[in-house]
Amino acid sequence: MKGLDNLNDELEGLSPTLRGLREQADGFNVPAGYFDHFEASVYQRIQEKGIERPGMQAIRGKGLRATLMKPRAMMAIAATLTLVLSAWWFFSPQPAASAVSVAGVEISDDELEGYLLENIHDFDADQLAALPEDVAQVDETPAAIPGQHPKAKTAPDDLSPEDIEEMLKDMSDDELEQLL
Amino acid sequence: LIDLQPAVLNKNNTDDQILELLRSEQTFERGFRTLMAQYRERLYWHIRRIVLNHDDTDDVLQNTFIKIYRGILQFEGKSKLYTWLYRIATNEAITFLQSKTRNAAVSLDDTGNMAHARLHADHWFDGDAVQVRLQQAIAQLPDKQRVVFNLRYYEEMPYEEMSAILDTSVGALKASFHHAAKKIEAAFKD
Repeated sequence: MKGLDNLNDELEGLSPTLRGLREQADGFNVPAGYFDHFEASVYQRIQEKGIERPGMQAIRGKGLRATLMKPRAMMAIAATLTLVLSAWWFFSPQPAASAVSVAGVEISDDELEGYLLENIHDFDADQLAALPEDVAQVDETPAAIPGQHPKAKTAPDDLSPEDIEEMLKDMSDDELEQLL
Repeated sequence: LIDLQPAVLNKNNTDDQILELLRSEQTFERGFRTLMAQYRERLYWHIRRIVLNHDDTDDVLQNTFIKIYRGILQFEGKSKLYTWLYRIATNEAITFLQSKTRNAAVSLDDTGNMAHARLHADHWFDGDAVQVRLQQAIAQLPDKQRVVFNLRYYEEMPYEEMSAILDTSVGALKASFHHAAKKIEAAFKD
């Protein structure tokens, strides 16, 4: 044996006593059949200590899922998500305040128009002039005022002389007076 | 499913074959029994040289295999299997001895006497006075030097293999064995 020769050579100069003792029995013995029963002894101890068989997830533990399930990875993912969501919330453009959005309640143009027409006498000319163009373009003809003659809805400029004459025929004096 | 087939007692079982069995849920138990069959004797003698007494060796060896059972699936194969097994066995044996020394509150100088007492109490030791003296001298070596000496002297392990187990350079191991042999030689001359 090469290893043995090397060791003997090594011991030759180091310790002649140790070199000589290698030829003798060391005195260590093992009970008969000890190794045959060893396996059963180990399993008995495993059972006594309530040791569970290692889970196979440890083998699969090298996969992505197991890596992601590790506490450190989960904390990192949670922190990243929090940062991304915060950044998105912070940098995303906020909707501009709308002239027709009051306390978060949206008011359509039609509703606003209706309100203005119903309360048009409560506003002065300056206030009406300050309204956005699309809202201000309400039909301010007297015919649009509730309670007026249906035919008066059309602006006088759009009416032919015959129409005007016909309309005046149908109107009572009171109605005519109110219109003027 | 528990595989109840006996361990594969084949001298040609390589560590890779054992690990292959251990990696499958169906063959895990067979793989572990094969591993025990393959290494129980080598690890027994490795531990016995350190703790000396058979009963203590039996206790430490069982604990060693339980640790292996619990941790084998975490073995990543970065080192050879037997290297990993030897490391566990060495740590278990040294820890056992250290706990005995602490419990007995003895100084390092008394370790030779403790070794004598352990051998004397062991029914499975029938060495003569020279062998007892040798074991006493070995027991007085520092822990790591004792392991190096045993692996080289009794198991004739090449320094390269020892280097992987003890994570120490070959040069340092040769120096350690040299010092140990000189100390033992000196102990016999006293």
